[in-house]
Amino acid sequence: MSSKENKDRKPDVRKLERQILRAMRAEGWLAPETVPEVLEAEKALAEDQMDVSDASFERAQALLRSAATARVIPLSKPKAERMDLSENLARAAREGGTVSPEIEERMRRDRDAAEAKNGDK
Amino acid sequence: MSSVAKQKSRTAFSSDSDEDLIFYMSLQGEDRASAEEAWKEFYFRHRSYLVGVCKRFQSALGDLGVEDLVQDTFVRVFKKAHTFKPLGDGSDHARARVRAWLGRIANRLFLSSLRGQPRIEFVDDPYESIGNEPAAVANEPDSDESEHLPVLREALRTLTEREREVLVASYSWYEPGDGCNRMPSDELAALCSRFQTTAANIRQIRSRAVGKLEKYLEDHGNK
Repeated sequence: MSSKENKDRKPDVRKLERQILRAMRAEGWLAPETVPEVLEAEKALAEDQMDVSDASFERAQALLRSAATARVIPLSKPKAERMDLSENLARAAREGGTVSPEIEERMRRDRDAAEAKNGDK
Repeated sequence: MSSVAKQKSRTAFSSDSDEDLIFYMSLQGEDRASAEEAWKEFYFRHRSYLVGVCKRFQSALGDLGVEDLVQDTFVRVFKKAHTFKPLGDGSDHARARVRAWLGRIANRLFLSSLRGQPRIEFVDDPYESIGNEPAAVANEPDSDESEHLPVLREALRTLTEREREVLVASYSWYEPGDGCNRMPSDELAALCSRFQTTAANIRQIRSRAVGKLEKYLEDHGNK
């Protein structure tokens, strides 16, 4: 394809990209990021039936108060690479932070999940 | 020093608009206790919605990961409260706009995980961009784009898991006008590491995925 043809095609590519991005959010691959998308998502969600427990708030509050330190969100997919517990601890130590109870809890979960996974093999 | 926020209890905050709550949070440097109380009200007001939205990432994050993402998003809201630009009304539109901001934060945090960065720090970073102005492109789609939305959604379901993940990671760098070509080289390297393949192959996977979608649209777009 010539450079002129490429240039002519650019608006179409941009349009397609916009459409794909929109479709990805509508399909639920990403969270809604615009007002119309939020309004649509609200219709689909049964918010009243979701539990908002004090315990979950207390965990969030503890995190807020220790938010200067790092957090770990483990991926559950088999393909995802996981840092093991010792590496997490070593990294936290290297970077000069104390490990908060919240972080320790996440690391424990991470380790338990890894052990369970290995146990399944 | 006294502030309006300082005099409020959580009960009093319950009648404040979302934008006001964010404003009180932004005063955390002056009045931390009131900022946290405002955050608490904000948390209970939006948690159910955010949990519902973040359940979209359940297959990648698992149940506990979803809970973590929700919590991280709320903490990030607190930290970034000063960056939010209010509209100045308490309408449904204002609430939806706040939730759209929550969505952008959640997406950024989720994509950080997906791009091979399970460790999230609550500090500013060079790639951080969670401005609260929605992309104009997605706000005002032309009628042609809206018409094709259902077909494109069908088309997305035909992609493989790998194509899906590469596409999501690549679209996390979408910028109106620039498209998806701004992925930093270290992000690309992280993707390569995750899929144990080369940058050229990642580009190929992405290109093939987009090609599939385009073809599907051509074949089914005029149903």
